[in-house]
Amino acid sequence: MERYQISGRQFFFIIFAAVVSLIIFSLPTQLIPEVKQDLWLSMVIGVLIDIYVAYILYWLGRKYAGQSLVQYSRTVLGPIGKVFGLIFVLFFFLVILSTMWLFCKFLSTALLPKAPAMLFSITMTLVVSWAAYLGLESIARMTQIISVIILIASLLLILFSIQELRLDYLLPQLENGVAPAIKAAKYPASWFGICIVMGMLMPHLINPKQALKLKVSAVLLGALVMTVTFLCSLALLGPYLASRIDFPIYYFSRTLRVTFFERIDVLMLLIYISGAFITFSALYFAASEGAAQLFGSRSHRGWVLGSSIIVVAVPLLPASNNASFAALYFDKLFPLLGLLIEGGFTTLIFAVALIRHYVERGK
Amino acid sequence: MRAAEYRIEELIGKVTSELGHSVDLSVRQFTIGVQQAPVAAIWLNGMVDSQTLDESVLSPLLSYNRSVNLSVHKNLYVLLRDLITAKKITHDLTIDQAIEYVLAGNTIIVMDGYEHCIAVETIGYETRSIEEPSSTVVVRGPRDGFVESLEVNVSLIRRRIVNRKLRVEQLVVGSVTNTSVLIVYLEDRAPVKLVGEVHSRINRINIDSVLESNYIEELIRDNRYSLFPTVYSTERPDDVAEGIVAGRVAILVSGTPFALLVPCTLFLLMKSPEDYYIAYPVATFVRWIRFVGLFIALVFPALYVGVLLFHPEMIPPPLLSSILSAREGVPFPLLIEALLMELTFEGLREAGIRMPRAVGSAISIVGALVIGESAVRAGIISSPTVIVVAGTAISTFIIPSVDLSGTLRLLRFFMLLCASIAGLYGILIGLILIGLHLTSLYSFGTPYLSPIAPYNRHEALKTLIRVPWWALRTRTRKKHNRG
Repeated sequence: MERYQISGRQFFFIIFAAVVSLIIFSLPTQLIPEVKQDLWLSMVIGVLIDIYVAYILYWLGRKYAGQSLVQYSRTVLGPIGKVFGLIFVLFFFLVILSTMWLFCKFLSTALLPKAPAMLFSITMTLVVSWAAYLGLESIARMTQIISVIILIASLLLILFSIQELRLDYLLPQLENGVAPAIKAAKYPASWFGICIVMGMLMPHLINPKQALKLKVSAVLLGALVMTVTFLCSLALLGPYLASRIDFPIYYFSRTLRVTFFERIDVLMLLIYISGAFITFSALYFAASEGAAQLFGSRSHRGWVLGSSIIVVAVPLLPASNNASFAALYFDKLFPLLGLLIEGGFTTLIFAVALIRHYVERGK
Repeated sequence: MRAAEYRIEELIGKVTSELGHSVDLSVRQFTIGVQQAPVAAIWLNGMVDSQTLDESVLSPLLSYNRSVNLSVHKNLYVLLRDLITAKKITHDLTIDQAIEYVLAGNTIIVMDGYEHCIAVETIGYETRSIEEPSSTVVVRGPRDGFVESLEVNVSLIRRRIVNRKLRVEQLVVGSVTNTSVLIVYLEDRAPVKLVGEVHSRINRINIDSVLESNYIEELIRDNRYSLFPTVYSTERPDDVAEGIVAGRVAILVSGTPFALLVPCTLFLLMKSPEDYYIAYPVATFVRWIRFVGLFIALVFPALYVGVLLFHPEMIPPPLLSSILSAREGVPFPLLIEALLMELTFEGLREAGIRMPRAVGSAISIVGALVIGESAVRAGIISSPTVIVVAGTAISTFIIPSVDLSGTLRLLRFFMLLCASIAGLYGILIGLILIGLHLTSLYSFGTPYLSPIAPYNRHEALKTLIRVPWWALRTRTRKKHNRG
């Protein structure tokens, strides 16, 4: 298998792009109607959960240096670990499928209403699977360029909106107590949790010692930028409008005018699409490499090509036109599954590894 | 040594028949010494410098040897060595080897009764004088350009890098043309691995003729299918000298003024040697104009088509209405119109290059009047499209590298196609595809997008702005780190 190596900076930017672009399409629709101006609290809790997971993965990654999440779950748990590895890989694929579905739905409603959803799934799968095929180094280099653009664009978006914000929309804070915000934290936590992809990338890091610091700071930066953007869109559109429209961030950027350009929303959208490209390709790489490690294939490339057929067909899945199923899936099933796998499984592996660690020491 | 069977007529006959009695082969027979031993000088007209031939080969042999007693000299070579005043003599050559020397411009001397002969270096063919390179012109900077002769080209580099570490190595490529290829580098700057890689790639070449450095370029490049040039070619010795000092390896090919430099990155192609000869703030500004030009040359027509077809709401209403009113009555769809104009421009450009200078102005008149003026006035083409194509054309000419601007001209059509399918989203997908290709591209072990991706702060700074010389403290840096 080819050894890809990425620098700390590239790792940081991959995580950052993943955090920002995954949740920009999914999170506002879930979070804003439920908690409105208290969403920051949910985000903070989500980040805290994620830092906990990051620490576990860091510890495991350092203890089983050179092994990926899929590999050390087998080392730690034995044959059962293989099942865990399979679940991780399937989960990565599930995330790709879910977000690809969201992505296609969003683009075919917001960007090009006349185009079929398949257009987006085909083109996106084409670039993403090519990126995954080329390997982590290409993805990392693309990330370096795209993430900087995302960061600058997000900051500019916030900056341009400042004069039109109505901060009283954000008050009163915590009017229903903290309980709803804590309950809603499952959404950001499950989406941030995608960063267990860190477990797959860590063996490729030139200096794994930095992994925890980089990961936490990337998630913090991403979550901060996104929280501020969400709050700005709330303060601009008002809680009523923001919780009723499908993609508040999109409408938020639509209201802004920058010098002589009428509508910068399309540009913002393009920037987030390029972010989504990074996330997809990192996940795709992680999933196919995990599958290759699981089944002992020589290269991840076959898995990339094989799975791309399924991803292309996402808009055609029978469940994808069923709105009530989609709502149930994204509001209930996905967060539950996400938390179970990202938090639960990793904790289990961690606990077993810890016990083994001390048993070995005791001898 | 002396043997009866090697008669001079036989030796001469062997050379002339081997060369097919070519008319440019000259044979001068004479005798030397008291014994009147028959000797002949053989050379190719035009390949030798007649003055050298006369002064240092023929006249010493003919004028000073009448009294020489050959029986005193055991070896004729020793005698001839002392008589001939030319700077270089090779001896003990078989006739077969000697023919190669004749072909390379030497004069060989065969002696009656000797199997081996002597080659005297008399190379001196007409070369073009050193002129200002026409492909890259600078306002300020040296005006000398490479010529077709390797000796002159190497001397142009040596004059600039007076350093004992400068290495010049020769390889011969082409089974028919036997073209000399020189590899020039600085021993303590160019990585050993890089030099070895260049050697092995050139040695691997199996081709019958090499007439221009592009033959070599195409055969040693990393990705054969890539549109992007991964070998830098230039006509300017100062450009090559700068590359050599920066640790690159130069490849000079006999018979062409275009030298090659490897490794080559995208940002090297965006540099002009003049960047270092003018004030650094201006150079930085110009460099950024070039980056913008690169982007415009690639996507401007695509943006025009994509935005007008798919996202007209992005354009401010006054501008949109003026574009739409200008397009009224144009019979073609927007994409066809843009494609047509782009192709027309490419045709005009190609016609302009091949035209004799006297006819050249006719092309510009046809281009400006017929296409620019009449087509718009007749309502066949809209003027916004003409403006977009003109802007793109100007941007293409901003790119300093001819190879890179050729790549952009091709990719522009690809982007146009992407834009016509899915608007700005299509452009984005197209850009990501190009980006992915660039990130996976290497030139002799160096990532093509370095130092931006992978990022190297010191080098990236030097790429994005023209750092003034006083701010550069460390000159040598590791250039070939991957990651």
